[in-house]
Amino acid sequence: MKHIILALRLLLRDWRSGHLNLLLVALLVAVTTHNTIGFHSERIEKAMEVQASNLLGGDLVIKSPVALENLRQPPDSVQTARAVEFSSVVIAGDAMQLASIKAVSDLYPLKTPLKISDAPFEPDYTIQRGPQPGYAWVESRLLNVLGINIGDPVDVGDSQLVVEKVLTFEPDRGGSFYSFVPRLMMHEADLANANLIQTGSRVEYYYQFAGPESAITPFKTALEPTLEPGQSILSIHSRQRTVSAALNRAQGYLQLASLMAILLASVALAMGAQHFSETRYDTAALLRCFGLRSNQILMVFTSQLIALALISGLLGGALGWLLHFSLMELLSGLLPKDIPLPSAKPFFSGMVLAVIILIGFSLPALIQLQRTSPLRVLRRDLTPSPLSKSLLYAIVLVLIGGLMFWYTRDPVLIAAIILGSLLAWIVTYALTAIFGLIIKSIGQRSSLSLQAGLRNLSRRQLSTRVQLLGFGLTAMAMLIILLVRGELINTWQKQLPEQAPNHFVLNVLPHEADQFEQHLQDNNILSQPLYPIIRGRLTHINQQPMQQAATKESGAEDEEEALNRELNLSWARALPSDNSIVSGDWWDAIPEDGKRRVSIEQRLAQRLNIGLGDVLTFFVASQTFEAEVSSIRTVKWESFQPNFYLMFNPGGLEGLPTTYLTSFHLEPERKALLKPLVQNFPAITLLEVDVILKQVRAILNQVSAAVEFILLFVLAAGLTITLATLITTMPQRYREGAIMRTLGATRRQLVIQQWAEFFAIGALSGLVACFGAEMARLGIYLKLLSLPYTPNPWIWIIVPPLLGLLIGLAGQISSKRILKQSPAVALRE
Amino acid sequence: MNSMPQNGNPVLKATNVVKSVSMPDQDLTILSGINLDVAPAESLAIVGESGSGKSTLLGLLAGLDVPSSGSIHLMGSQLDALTEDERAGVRAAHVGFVFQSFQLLPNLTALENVMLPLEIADGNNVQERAKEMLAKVGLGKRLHHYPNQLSGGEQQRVALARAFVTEPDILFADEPTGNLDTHTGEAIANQLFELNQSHDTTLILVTHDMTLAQRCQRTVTMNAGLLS
Repeated sequence: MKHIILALRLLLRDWRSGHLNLLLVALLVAVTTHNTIGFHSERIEKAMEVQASNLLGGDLVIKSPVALENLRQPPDSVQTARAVEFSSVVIAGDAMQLASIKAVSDLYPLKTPLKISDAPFEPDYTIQRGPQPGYAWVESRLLNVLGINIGDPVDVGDSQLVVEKVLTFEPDRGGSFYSFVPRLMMHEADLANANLIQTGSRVEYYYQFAGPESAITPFKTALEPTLEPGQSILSIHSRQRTVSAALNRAQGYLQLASLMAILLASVALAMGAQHFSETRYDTAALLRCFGLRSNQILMVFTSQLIALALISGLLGGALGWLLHFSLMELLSGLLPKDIPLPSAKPFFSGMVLAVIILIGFSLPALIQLQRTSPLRVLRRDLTPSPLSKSLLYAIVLVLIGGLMFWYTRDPVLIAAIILGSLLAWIVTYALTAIFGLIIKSIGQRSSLSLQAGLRNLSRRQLSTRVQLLGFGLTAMAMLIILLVRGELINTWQKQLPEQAPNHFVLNVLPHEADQFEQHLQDNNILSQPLYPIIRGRLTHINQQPMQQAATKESGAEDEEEALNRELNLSWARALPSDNSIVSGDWWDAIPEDGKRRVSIEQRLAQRLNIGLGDVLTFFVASQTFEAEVSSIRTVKWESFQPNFYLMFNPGGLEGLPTTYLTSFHLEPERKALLKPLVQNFPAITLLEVDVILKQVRAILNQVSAAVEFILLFVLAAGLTITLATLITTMPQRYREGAIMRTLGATRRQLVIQQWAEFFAIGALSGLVACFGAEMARLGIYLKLLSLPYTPNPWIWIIVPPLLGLLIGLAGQISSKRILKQSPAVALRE
Repeated sequence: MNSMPQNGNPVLKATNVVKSVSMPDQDLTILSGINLDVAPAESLAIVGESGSGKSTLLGLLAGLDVPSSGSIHLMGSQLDALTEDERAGVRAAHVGFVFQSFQLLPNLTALENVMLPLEIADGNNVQERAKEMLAKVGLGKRLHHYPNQLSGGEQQRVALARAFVTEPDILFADEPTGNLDTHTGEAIANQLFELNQSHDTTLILVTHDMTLAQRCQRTVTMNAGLLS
C-alpha cells in the first residue's frame, strides 16, 4: 500500500511538470472516442427497442398480402384489431399527394396509444382509438403538401373524408424510421366505398392480437400450421431487422472510424509510454538505490499508469457523454424522439479500455523500467536491455488484434483492415523512400535550414512513417466521404440517358390498363410498355423447400430476403430491351409446347444456386404451380426501365390476379399532367424519382455528417502522434536549436527548418490520402456501382498543400519553446 | 595489501574482491583482489586516477553491483550472497548516497527530493524532517524550487540533505565536488564533513581531489585495480 501512495505522490508531482500530457491526451482521445460511440450506439439500440416494442402493435401480429377471411378465431380473452396498409394518391382540390393509407378497425390500437393534435404544431395527446368512419387523421406534412387545413375534405379513391386531426405518433408504423410518403389514417368502414383495393393490389393486411400470454401462445401454435406462404407471424426481431439495417450500417462505419482513432491514439500512447519509461530510468535507478525492490519499482510505475488511465477514463467518459449528444443531433432526422438515455456501461468499458491500452502498450516500457540497474546512478550509460523484438511484436499484435475484435467482432473485416493497413504501410514506405532520394538530390541546392528540416524526416524515419500513415489515412477517409457523398448521386444521375424514366406507376388495374395507356398517349407522355405484375412467392427449388434450398446461400440477410419477400412476377412476349440472355433461350427460340417456363435474373440465380432446367415452385394467390428455368438474364437495374427477377412465358401466369406497372419520363415543367392522371386513376401508385432522390440525398448527408464527426476524433488521434513525435524528440530538438543559435542561426532560419519538416509531413500525408481516396473511388465506382470512373485532379492540387499548412502550423505552435528559450539556458539543461 | 581501520569492528568488509567484465575478445579485470575494512563512523577516501576502478569499487561496496569473486559484508549482511532485491533492503536500511551529478529528480522540488527517501521508508513527519534538513544545509528558503532553478552548489546541498535525512549508517559519496568550482566544492565538503560528524555516519568517499581526500581520517589509493 505504501508504494501505491508513493506512486500517487510521484504521479501528482509528475503531473504538475506536464510530463504526462502526452499520455493523457492520447488516452483522452481514445477513451472519448470509445465513449461517444458507446453512448451513441446504446441509444441507437434503445431507440430500436422502443421502436420494436411499439412497432408490433400487438402481442401477436399476422401479416398477409391478402385478406384472411377464414382466419381462426382467437380465444375470448384475446382482443383483435385489423389494419390495412397500402399506397394511394390523396386529392384535395387541385393538389394531390401520394400517401401511405392505413385503414383501421374499431379496436385499433391494441397496445400503445396513438398521439394526435388538434392542429399542426399544437401539443399532442394520446388516444386509444383510430378515426371514426368519414374522418381522416393525417401527418401534418400532408396538410402542407396539399395546402389544406383541419376540417377540409380530401378524396381517397372514391371516398371523401374530412381531415379531423393531425397524427403525430403511430406506434406500429412499420417500414423504417423515416418514410418517404406521409400517412393518412382512416376507418376500415370507408375502405369499401373508396374502391381502392382490387384483386392483385399491393396491400398488406395486419391482424393484431393482444391478450394474456397463456392465451396468445397456444393461439400462435395453432395458427402457425394454417398460414400459407406469404403470410407471416411478426416478431419483434423480424421487424427490428428491417428497421435497423440502414442505421446498423451507419453504426458499422462509426465503429470502424472509432477503432481507427483508438488504434492511432494507441500508437501515440506506445510512443508516449516509451518516452515515459526513458525519462524515468534515472528515477527508477535512484529509487532502487534508496532500497526499492524490482517488483516494487514495477508496482510504483504500474500504479501511476493505472491512476492515469482511470483519470482519463473519467474525463473521457464525461467528454464522450457530452459529445454523443452532438452525434445524436446529427442523426436526429433518422431517429425517433425521446430515446431513453444510455446506461453507464460504455463509461465502465471506457475505463477498462483506458487501463488495457495504457498498461498494454506501456508493458514493454514498464518491464524495461523494472530492469533498470541501480548502478545507473554511477554510470548513466547503463540503459536497461530492451525487450526481445519477438516478445514486443507479440504484445503489440495481441493488443491490436484484441482491440479490433472488441470493436468489430468480424474476422473477415479484421483481415481486410490488416491487409489495407499493410498496403497503406507499403505506400507510405515507398513514398518516404522516394522522398529521401529527392532530398538527397536537391539537398545541395536548397538552403541550409530547409535541408536541416527535411533531413530530420529521414533521420526519424519510423516516426515519420507512422505520422504519414496516421494523417494519410484520416485525410483519406474524410476525402472519400466528401467526394463520394457529393459525387455519387450526381454521377449516377448524369449517366442516365436524357429521357430515362423518372416516374413509376404501380397498381394499374387490369380493367383500366387500356384506358391508362390511352391517357398517357393523349397527353403525349412517352411510356414503357405496361408490364403485368403478379405478386408471388418462390417456395421450392426442384421440389426442395426454400428453407433447405436457401441454406446454400452465403449470407443470412439474403436468406431472409429470398425466403420472406414477395417477388414481383411478370410475363412478356419479347425480351425487354435492356436485358440480355447469358444462358438458355428466350421463348421465341423454344418450340411452343404449352409448358410453363421462367427466365431468372443472373444474380438471383447465383444467390439461390438455380440453374437452367431447374424446376421452381411458386405460390400465388392461394395457388401453387411449377415452372422450368429456361433462361438466365442480366438486367440493367440502373436503367430505370421496369425490370423483373422472374419473367414467365406468355400464358405462364394466366388467370392470376394481375396489376400493371410502367415507367415514363416527364419533364419538370410538365408535372402538372400528373394530377389529372391520378384523378382519373385513383388506384395507381405514383413514385416520383426526383422526390425520392432528394430524400436519399438528405439521409446520405445526415449519415455522412455523423461519420465525419467521428473522423474528427481520428484527426485528433493523428495529431497526438505528431504531439508524441514532438515531445519525444523535443530534448534533442531543443539542444540542436540551442547549438544552431549559438553558432549564429537566426530565429527565421529555425522557423524555416521547423516549417520544412512539418509541412513536408503534412504534404506527404496529403499524397497518401489522395492516392488512397482515388483507389477507393476507383473500387467504389467500378465494382460497387458499375459507374464510369474519372480521376479528380483537384484533390491532388488542394489536399497536400492544405494538409501541409495544417500540420506545419501545429508543429510550429508546439515547438515555439525552442525559439523562445535562450541558448545558454538550453545548453545548461 | 589489507587496508585496515584504525578502530572498532568493521561496518564494511571486502575480502579478495575481484570484478571483471567480458569483452568481445577477452575478459577485462577492473578490480583484482581488493581487501578493505571500514570501522563505524570512520571517514575513508578512495583516491585514484580516472579509470582506476574507484567508482566500480564504490558500486560494489554499496551493494549496487556484485563482485565476480570475493565477498563483501555491509552492516553484517554478505552482499554477494544476496539477490538484488535483498541488497535493496540492505541499502534501504543502512545506506545513503551523494553523487557527482547530484541525481536530483527534475520534476520534484528541493523539498520533495529530500522527502523521497523518507517516503520510501514510510517514515514519520516526513515533511518536517525534510524541511529541517534543508534548513541545516542553508536552503530553508528554497524549499519549493526545482533543481533547474538552483545552482550546482545548491543542488548538491539538496543531495546532501537527501542523503542525511534518513540518518544512514554509512554514506557513499562519489566525487561529491567533482561538478563544482573550487569555492563551492569547499563549501559542500565542509557541510558533508559537518553532517558526517554530527550524525556519526561512516563515510566512504571516492574522489581524485587530494585536498578533499585529506580531510578524511584515512585514504586508500586505487591503482590499476588494486588498493595501496
